[in-house]
Amino acid sequence: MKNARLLTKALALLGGLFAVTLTATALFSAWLLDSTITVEHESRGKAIANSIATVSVETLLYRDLSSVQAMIDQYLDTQGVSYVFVEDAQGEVVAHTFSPAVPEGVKGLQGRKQKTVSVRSAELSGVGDVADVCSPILDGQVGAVHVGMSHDVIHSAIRAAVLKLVGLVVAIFVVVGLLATMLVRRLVRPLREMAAVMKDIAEGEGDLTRQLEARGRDEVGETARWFNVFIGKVHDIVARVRAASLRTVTVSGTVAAAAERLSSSAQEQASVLEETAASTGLVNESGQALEEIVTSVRGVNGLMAEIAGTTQQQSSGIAQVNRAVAQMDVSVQQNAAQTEELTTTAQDLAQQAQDLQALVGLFKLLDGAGEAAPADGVGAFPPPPRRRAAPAVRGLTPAPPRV
Amino acid sequence: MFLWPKSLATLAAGLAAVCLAGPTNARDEEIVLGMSAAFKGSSRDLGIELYRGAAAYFEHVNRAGGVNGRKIRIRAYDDGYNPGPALENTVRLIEQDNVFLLFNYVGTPTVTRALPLLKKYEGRSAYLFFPFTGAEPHRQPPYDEKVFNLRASYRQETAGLVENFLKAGRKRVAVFYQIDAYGRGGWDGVRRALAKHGLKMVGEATYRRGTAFSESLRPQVDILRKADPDAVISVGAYAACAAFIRDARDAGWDVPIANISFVGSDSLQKLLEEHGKAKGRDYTRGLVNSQVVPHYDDLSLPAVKEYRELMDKYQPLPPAEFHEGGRALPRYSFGSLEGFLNAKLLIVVIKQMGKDLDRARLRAVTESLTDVDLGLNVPVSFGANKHQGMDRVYYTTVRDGRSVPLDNWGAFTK
Repeated sequence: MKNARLLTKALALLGGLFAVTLTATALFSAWLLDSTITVEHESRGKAIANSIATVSVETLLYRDLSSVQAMIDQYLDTQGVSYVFVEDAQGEVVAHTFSPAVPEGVKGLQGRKQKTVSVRSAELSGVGDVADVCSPILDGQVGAVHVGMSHDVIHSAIRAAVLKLVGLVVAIFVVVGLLATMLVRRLVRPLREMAAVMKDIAEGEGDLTRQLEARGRDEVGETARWFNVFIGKVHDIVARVRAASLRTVTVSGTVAAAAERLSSSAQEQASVLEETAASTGLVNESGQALEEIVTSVRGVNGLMAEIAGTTQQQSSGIAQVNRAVAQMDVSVQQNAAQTEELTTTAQDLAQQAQDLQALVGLFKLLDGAGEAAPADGVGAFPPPPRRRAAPAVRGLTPAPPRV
Repeated sequence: MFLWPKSLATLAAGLAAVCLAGPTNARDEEIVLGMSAAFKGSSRDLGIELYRGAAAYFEHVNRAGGVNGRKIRIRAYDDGYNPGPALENTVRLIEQDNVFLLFNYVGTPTVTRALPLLKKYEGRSAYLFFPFTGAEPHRQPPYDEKVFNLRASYRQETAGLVENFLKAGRKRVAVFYQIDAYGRGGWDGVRRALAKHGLKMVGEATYRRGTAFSESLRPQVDILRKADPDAVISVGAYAACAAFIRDARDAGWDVPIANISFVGSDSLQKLLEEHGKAKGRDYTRGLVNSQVVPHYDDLSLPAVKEYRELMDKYQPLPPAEFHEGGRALPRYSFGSLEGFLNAKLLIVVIKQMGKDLDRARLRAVTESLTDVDLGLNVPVSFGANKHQGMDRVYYTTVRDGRSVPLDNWGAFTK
């Protein structure tokens, strides 16, 4: 599951920690149990061996072996005791609890001429691993009592204890794992939403009106809130750009219209001038034509006034008029070229403004943002988180937008 | 040290009852005998047969008006042939039931464990009469004074078997035994008997008390067979011993196998015959059994005649609570004959007590009995240091599916 990578990582980490804990605990408790139970076990064996040794002196010396057997039989019920046997002073086994027969290995345990209780490990066929506790009877003068304390009992006790422990830890792991899964899911969900919003902005409709659900007062909630503020800022900037570009488009339109108008009037003027030049000989018409020229050219430049002055003094001669007209024509021609240039520039400007419009149009903004209230559009976004940011983050904290 | 808070409470109640009732029981009250034995489990035939034999004789006495007008009754509890319950039953019988004496206990591990109680209840003069065991603990100090036996001991039985096998040229003797006080007693008996001749047993194998006939005893057979004995002396109870014989014969091992009285030779034979019928072979060959009572077919003995008459007449049942209707009861058995003889001797003791049934007098009265004729052609005597009435050991074998007295060991000569 691609979307659950954080969860997988968290669970794997948790599992690893638990495995380490479990192994360590199991090993440690096995060791601890082994040492304590073994000590306890052997001391129990010593107590039994000593008590039989004490009591059996007279029984062995004055009574029969049935009584000895009845005595040792009672200890077989004791947990961990796998056998009891009594050897006499000659080292012959005179009473024992083995069935179906005395194991071969028992011979190796006999004949210890010791005056105090001793423990020896042995492995007997049909009996298993034992600690053979030997207690001499009357300093070994009458014989000795052997009590076999089963190691298998210890081992199975340890196994049982460790198994219980493992069961407990696994149960705890399951519970903790479930809790961790829930927790990580809760943590991951807003992150995933954030990722989706970012992806949407990056690849999709560029919806800058999207807001994260900022739940909780934890780091995730804080991140979401700051993310929202960030998106708000981007939204505002885009909105302002859009508004500015709209204005540019309008202005460039006006400029273009003005240039057009200017261009057409200049051409008009030029044609009139040509007519004037053609009709220099037609004096009748010349006054009227010059009148027209004066009207047209007034306000264009000072040269027009000069022309007017010159035309009013017709007496200066047609040549003079012709010169002046030629001069004026040059001027008008220049004027027309400038107007053409202005028009082109205005058209360029309009084109660029439209491009910008299209560009900011890629972002989805709040209704009217950038058109109606370019400066106050930010008011639609929530205020920035009031929480104290972590010190490390403080330097990066964006200035809260004005409300 | 054992403590039973519940029992202590009943002890107090019992003492109070005794004080209120006065020093002696009312004349026409019953004489109650306390019996703890195996009435359930794999050794129940032993308790049941012993009880039935005694019940036949007591019925006979009671119908004739009892002893001095007092009837005899057995209060029986099951211990399943286990020491723990035997101990509890004994406390119950002494404290709660306030029995006149303990009678017909079955088994060595059970009796051995209950013995200290006889010392504990010394103040109440607790005695055990005629337990169904030949073990030594109650034949030796300190408990011998609290117990009276009729039967010969396991030492006598095993010694007799060893002597006869040796005479028959069988010197390599192995022992198969129950790993408890009973088995150890028999094992020790064989060991001592062999030691007299400078011999040692060649092998031994054990089984756990309570082993059923259905279980395999093949490992024990293999262990003993490896020792290559000329004869096997088996010290156990019928279920396991029958299983051992079955597995030995199935393994093709035809060594003579001898059992001792406690085994319950009739139950053993019955198990082997039933199994033999199913398998189509005879498992009862090469068997010897030592007995402490004569054969119940020996009609030359007045006691056996009387026993058979009374068994036929009353057809005694096991105690009602342990009776299972479907089980066929043997007409005669060594167990019920022993129970019968125990009961007959006990009546002699009670009669000897006269009208004063003070338990404190039991020991002195019984020790005073000499040359009592039970009808066995063997006088029964007790004495101050003699708490065993008989020393005689009998031998039987199975011939053609029938248990018969074994007088000539020629068939077992090697």
